[in-house]
Amino acid sequence: MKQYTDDELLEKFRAGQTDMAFGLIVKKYQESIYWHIRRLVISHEDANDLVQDVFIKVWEALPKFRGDSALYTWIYRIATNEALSFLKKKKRRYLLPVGDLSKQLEETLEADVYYQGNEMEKKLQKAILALPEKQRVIFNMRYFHEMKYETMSEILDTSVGALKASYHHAVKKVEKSVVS
Amino acid sequence: MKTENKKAIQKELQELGSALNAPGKEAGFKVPEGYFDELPGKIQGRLEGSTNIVQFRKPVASSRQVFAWAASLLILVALGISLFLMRSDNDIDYVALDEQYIDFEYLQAQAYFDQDMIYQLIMDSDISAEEILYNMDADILADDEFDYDEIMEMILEEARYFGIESEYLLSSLY
Repeated sequence: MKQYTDDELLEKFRAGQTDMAFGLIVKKYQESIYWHIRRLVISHEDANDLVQDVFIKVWEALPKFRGDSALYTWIYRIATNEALSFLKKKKRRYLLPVGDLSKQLEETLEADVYYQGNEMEKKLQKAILALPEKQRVIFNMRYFHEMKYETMSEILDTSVGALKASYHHAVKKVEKSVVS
Repeated sequence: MKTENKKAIQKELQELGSALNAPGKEAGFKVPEGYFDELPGKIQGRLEGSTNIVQFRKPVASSRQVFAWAASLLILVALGISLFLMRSDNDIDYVALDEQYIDFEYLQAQAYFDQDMIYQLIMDSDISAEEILYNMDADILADDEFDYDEIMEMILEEARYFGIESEYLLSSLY
């Protein structure tokens, strides 16, 4: 199947082929967006709900999308916001003190039938879950999604310098925790 | 492009002296079989099931608020001569604190003041972390949207990164 560029997809959407263009956008980005969300919320069930919410928001907002940023970074931004506000709501719903959310996510990891990491992978994941939320987002985007700092900067609206510093700290912390 | 990024990430890890390897994509996470084949249909189904055809959300901030926020940031940037993060322990500068109070009041009036903005302030202006936190309204700190520990963690991390002792920062905060 032909892989359309974002510009081509937007052109189709604006030309009135909305359903077709949207379907192609979903197919193009569903996996990367799913994995981005999944690493943040851990549970497959939650990630499944959220990825659908993200694409529904994309559908709703697409007619107003002006192309100031790349389609890819725009969708990622929506996904990041959705995942973070989900975690925030979760923290509030269960009246969790700071730090306890990571414990709860660890429990989710242990209980999720769709997580089958080996001991080393589990240790790594738990170390990542212990990071402060935003640092965890940055770590995941760089380490797992192999994203350039410039792209991350557009998505998170944070300077490249701040992202590098955060990522470097996160790497040190994760490593310390994995090695110990 | 991905391969190039992988190499860059591996190189970066080596430069950091990290024993972490560039990871596999899934790292233990799985999805049900055929999940990604079915997902577009599920999304389509939800869209068809929705009674609202296309509803645009009300903007989260009015243009006036955005303008006010941009203006306050400009003021803060204008205050900057040297970055807080480049300072040494001994040359903390409280000059123009009165002006900063005005800015803080202005910032606190913004509906969308949050920890990211505070973090950004620290990164982008010469206002030091302790000045920012010292001047913050107790109501903001009490807001459950505001993750004080998280922003503190980031501030301390940044401070350490630039060689400023966290003990020093903490002693000036409490």
